[in-house]
Amino acid sequence: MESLPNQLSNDRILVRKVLTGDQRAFSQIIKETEGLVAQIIFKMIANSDDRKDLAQDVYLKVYQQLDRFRFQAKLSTWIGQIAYHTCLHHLERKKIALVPIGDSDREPSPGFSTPFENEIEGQLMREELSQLVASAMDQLNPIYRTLITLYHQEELSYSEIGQIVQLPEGTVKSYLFRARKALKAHVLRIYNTNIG
Amino acid sequence: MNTSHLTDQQIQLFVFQQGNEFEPWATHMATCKECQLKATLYRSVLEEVANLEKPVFNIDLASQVISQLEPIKPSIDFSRTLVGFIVLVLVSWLGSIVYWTSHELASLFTRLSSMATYLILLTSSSLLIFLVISLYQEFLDKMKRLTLS
Ligand SMILES: [Zn+2]
Repeated sequence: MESLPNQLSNDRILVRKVLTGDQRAFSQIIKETEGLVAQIIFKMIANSDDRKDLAQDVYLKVYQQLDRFRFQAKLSTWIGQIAYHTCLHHLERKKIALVPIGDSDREPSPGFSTPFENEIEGQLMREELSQLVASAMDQLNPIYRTLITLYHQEELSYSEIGQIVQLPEGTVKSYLFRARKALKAHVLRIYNTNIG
Repeated sequence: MNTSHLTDQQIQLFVFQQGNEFEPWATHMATCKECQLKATLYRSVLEEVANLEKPVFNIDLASQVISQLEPIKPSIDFSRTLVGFIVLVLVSWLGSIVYWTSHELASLFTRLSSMATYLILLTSSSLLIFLVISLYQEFLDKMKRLTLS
């Protein structure tokens, strides 16, 4: 991974090139950031056609607004922010529930989880756990799923995630606590349903 | 045995934000099987999240986006055509003047007063400069719109 100052100067060079009409530079920006954009769109949006359309929308917006980018964050973070909010508006337009915080992500009763926790100790098969976690992620609400992915898979800092979702770091941390708790609850629930 | 178990939030902090401030919890964690299990569960689940397959778009996103950006070529060709047309009109206009007045051209400058020559030169050069500047500005405007559109 590149250091922040190097990344910022690389960003400046690329942005300047795009603003003087160099489309190959924009193509390079897309290739460097589409991994992050894919993570956000795939975690927020279920329909595969919508995902492709939104991905293109995101980069058309980036292109239109690039002259307003002031390098206060990494270019990838700024693009992530556009991707996240494009998805958010899409979900709002389609009236899809966003953050059912507290209710749907409830935890099973304590005794319920014991068999699984014991098996974890006894080395539950790796693939089995991987499938469990993938299914549990699918059951999380879009925002929790995105936050967990950005932190644990993309390894972004709280501050970078805060810039993407435009929330204070403290709020990001508290959402992440709830998100992990909900994820663990889903894993246990699916496991217990499977063995039950 | 110590019965004050760590809260869920404390276990998460202990697992995901290792630091000296969590030392007191480490003592409890070292001896409490129940809290160890909870911590192991969190660690295992989130490690699996990190290992999940990353999604990719099954389209060439860069090409698709670039193809929608703007029709850069036609606009540039248009401005080139415009410049060419203006130059052609100017050249043919000057050419016809020279052609129709060639028999008087030889005596043109000798018969004109120096003040008249000066005025003609000043007017024509100002016009020429104005024309070049406005053409250049139009070109810059177009480039700017292309870049931002
Ligand atoms: Zn304990």
